[in-house]
Amino acid sequence: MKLLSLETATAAGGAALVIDGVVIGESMTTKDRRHAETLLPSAIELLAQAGITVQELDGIVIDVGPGLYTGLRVGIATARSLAMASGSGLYSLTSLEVLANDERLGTSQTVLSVLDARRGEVFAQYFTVENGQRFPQGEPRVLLPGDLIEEMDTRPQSLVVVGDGGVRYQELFAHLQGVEFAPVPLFPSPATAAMMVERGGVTKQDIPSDVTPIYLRDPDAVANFKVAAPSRLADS
Amino acid sequence: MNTTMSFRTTSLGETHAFGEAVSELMNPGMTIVLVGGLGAGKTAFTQGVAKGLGIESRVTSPTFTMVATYDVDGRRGIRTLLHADLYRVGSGIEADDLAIGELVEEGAVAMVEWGDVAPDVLGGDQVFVHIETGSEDDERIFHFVDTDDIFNGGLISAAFERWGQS
Repeated sequence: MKLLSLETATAAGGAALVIDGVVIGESMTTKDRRHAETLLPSAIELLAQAGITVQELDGIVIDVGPGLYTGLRVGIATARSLAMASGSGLYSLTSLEVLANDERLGTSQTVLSVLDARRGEVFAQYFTVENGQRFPQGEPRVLLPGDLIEEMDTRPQSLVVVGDGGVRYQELFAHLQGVEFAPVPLFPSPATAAMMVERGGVTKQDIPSDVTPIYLRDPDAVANFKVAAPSRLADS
Repeated sequence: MNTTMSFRTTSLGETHAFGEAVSELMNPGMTIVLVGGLGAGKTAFTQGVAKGLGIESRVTSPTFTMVATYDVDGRRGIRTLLHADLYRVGSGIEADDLAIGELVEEGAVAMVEWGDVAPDVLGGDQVFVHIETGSEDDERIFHFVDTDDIFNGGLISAAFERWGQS
């Protein structure tokens, strides 16, 4: 399969080209998170280097989050458009599962994927191992790092924490027994996402517009909107 | 600072100069939530802040675009000024979608007009500035409500002495 994989869910963004299970190229940048400006050029360059066109692709792979809003929108809009224009399949994965399936982590231990959600929160999900394969435990969540650690305190187990969220709040995890930090990866890798598709088990999305971002909004914050803000009413 | 401090300007030029002075005390991650009626001077104050950050392009209220971003030269770690206007935002989800809370953590400072409609989706380091019109035409009173002491209290009272109001 010829797969073009796009990654924009975190502070690091980029693209990867994977052909028949071989990573032909991966281009990632963490600089200033200008996904809108860098994503398509790096994808085009990868295709040009391999000498293939968008129409020859068998699939577009996209990380749908949870992640940073501004990045997710750029990535998903781009992936949908490319899938529509080329008629190739669209495959979506979550940021936390791509992180947990990174080859560099091996498959010997439970993984806790933790990404920095900003505003003092993290996205998190556990992944266990069975027969060399990773399985998610529960749904992706957004929560305060303190709440996550409190929960880990009540169910102690040996695990590897992976992702930039774990690193940002590392000192909070310090007292936990059996918790290790993976030095890499900090961010989900588009090459990993494409390899997951290549190995099978990722459902092809027939309707590109059905692929939508996972924002995991904080419902309290969103509900706390003052339609009738006094200062606003007074003038309108 | 003590939770609330008030400052007074008596002309548009002074409001600009006051904004410039405030910009000197801003650090990355800081959000100023601007509260005040139409014509209170939220945009004028923001123009002063923008000038103080070295931004040369013309700053207008992003009433329709909702968020405008301006590049800053990296002084004190500030690379971007986000200027938002939530006047036309219709729901918490729409406000959340603007991602101000996430963007401000990337070496940015934010000035959010009508930000009091949805403070929870903005960044953590917030200072509320309530702007009131005074008895004279161009008189404006700026009430800074800085519950979390985002601005250093002593520093701000010294810096803004010329506009201080007891």
